[in-house]
Amino acid sequence: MTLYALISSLELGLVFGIMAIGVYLTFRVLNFPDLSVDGSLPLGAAVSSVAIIAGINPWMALIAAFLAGGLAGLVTAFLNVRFGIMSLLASIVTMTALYSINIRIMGRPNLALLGEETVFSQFEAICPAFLQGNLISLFLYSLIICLLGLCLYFFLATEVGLALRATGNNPQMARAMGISTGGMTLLGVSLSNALVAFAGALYSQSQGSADVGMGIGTIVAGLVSVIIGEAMVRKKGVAWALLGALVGSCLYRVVIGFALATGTGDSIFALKASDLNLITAVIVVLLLAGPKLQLAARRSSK
Amino acid sequence: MIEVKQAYKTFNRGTPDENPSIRGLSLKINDGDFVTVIGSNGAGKSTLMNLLSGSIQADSGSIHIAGQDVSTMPEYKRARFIGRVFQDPKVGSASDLSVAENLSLAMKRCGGRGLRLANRKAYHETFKEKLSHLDLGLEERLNDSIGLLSGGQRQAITLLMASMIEPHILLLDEHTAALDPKTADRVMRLTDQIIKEHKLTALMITHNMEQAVKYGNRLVMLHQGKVALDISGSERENLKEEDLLAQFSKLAKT
Ligand SMILES: Nc1ncnc2c1ncn2[C@@H]1O[C@H](COP(=O)(O)OP(=O)(O)OP(=O)(O)O)[C@@H](O)[C@H]1O
Ligand SMILES: [Mg+2]
Repeated sequence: MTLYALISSLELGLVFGIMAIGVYLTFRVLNFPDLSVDGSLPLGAAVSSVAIIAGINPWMALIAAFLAGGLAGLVTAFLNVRFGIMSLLASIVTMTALYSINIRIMGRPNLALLGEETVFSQFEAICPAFLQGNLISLFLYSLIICLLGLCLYFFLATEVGLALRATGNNPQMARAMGISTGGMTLLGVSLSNALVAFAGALYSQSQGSADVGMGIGTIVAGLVSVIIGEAMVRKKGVAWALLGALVGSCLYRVVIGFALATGTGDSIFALKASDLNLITAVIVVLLLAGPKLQLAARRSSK
Repeated sequence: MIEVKQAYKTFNRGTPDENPSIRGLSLKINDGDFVTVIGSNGAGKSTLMNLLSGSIQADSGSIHIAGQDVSTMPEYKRARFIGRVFQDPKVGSASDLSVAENLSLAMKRCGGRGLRLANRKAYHETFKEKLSHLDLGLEERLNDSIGLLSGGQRQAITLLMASMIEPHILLLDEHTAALDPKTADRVMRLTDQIIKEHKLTALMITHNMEQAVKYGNRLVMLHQGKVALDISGSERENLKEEDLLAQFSKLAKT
């Protein structure tokens, strides 16, 4: 694996780390398995791209994507809270609807940002000279992530944030403590999808394109990152969990990058970029089945 | 004052599992009353508490708390009036949150949550002081996850949470049933002390006849979703365990 490939993997790890943090919010904090992120990632990309092409400032485009994602999450949560539709089902409905909506927004299945201003091009212009090429985006990602991570960390420590965590951990107790669990679900799922859409927007600005299919496998990648993060960072607490999701995301992308870099060739077993989802699925199974497999191995060796 | 008027609740209405649990129950609890509630399994005691707290909605009838009709008020809004300790020690606290975080949640039971720091250092003196009354050494474990504590320790903390901000009524559902005799006794005495100290209105379900006559100033017996017995005043003061057992066998025959 070349240094260049490593840096690209880290970049992916960071930008999708924002997405992983969103997935952490629903899966772990709220205990609300939410698949709509597969649709809100491309939603963010679509909104941001259309906004940029319309001449809107790329930073504002990111904010617009954030809000659009929040709205998508709100729909999923509303279906669950108001009509009692199971969270998985409600999120699949939203995800499916978003596929059509994303194409509507872009007017077609994909858009290219040829020569348009992005946050990267703007940042490059004001960047100190020693940062070049790849490092610029790496630096910008880190900056944005630190900012978002800190905001989220402080938010989760506030009274509302604590209410959110209590809702996911023990809804019955939360209600007895005067917390509107429905309201917290709306808030948490929105926030999660807003982060995911933001990640999608940022990614599309770095790639210079948006594609309706780019969201496939988002939820699985996010889950893998969260689970790897939990295995790596064993400490308890919100700060460690947020850091874990980031570390997990980076590690996951590096592993994928490494697999793709070494597994190339001409045979039919050589890996292609499109094998990524299969590799991811295998990693998920290994991670989840790992403890059981170890146990079985220990039993049979006795 | 709490007033339940002609409450009915049937679970699984219109299915083969149809089960009338509360059948025209009326009950008036005056401020400062400490009512012990007894009754056989399935008599509707927990269901009555769920109706009061809003965890379930009555099919008909009305519930007033502090002069306000709360019949259709959602549970989280009614929480402002109600402190509650559940039958199951795991239900009353959030296991992944720390002791201090759980207690911080209780500081805001009556609402007013905003973007201020939840688990404030300024609270910790109060928390430690209250925890030290439990005599369980929990004042040293503010930052431990509550899930690491035993059932009895959790139940004791839930009691503190329920009474942290003085509730209009304290609901206790067999809250010492899952505890070892010594801890049960300690939690029960602490309960009595808290109720007396703050002159709280309380409703305590128990299957322990000794507790039922020893504590409180009024006793209510439920049978088939209705009040079968309501004893207060001097009659209540002279009540013996044997009298209650006699009542149980009398009802069993009907
Ligand atoms: N959620 C529910 N769904 C269906 N039936 C229920 C439900 N909750 C209670 N019941 C039924 O209502 C009746 C009263 O139950 P409740 O839990 O109030 O009894 P209880 O007096 O608290 O009994 P115990 O002393 O065993 O705790 C029972 O027949 C029970 O089966
Ligand atoms: Mg009960």
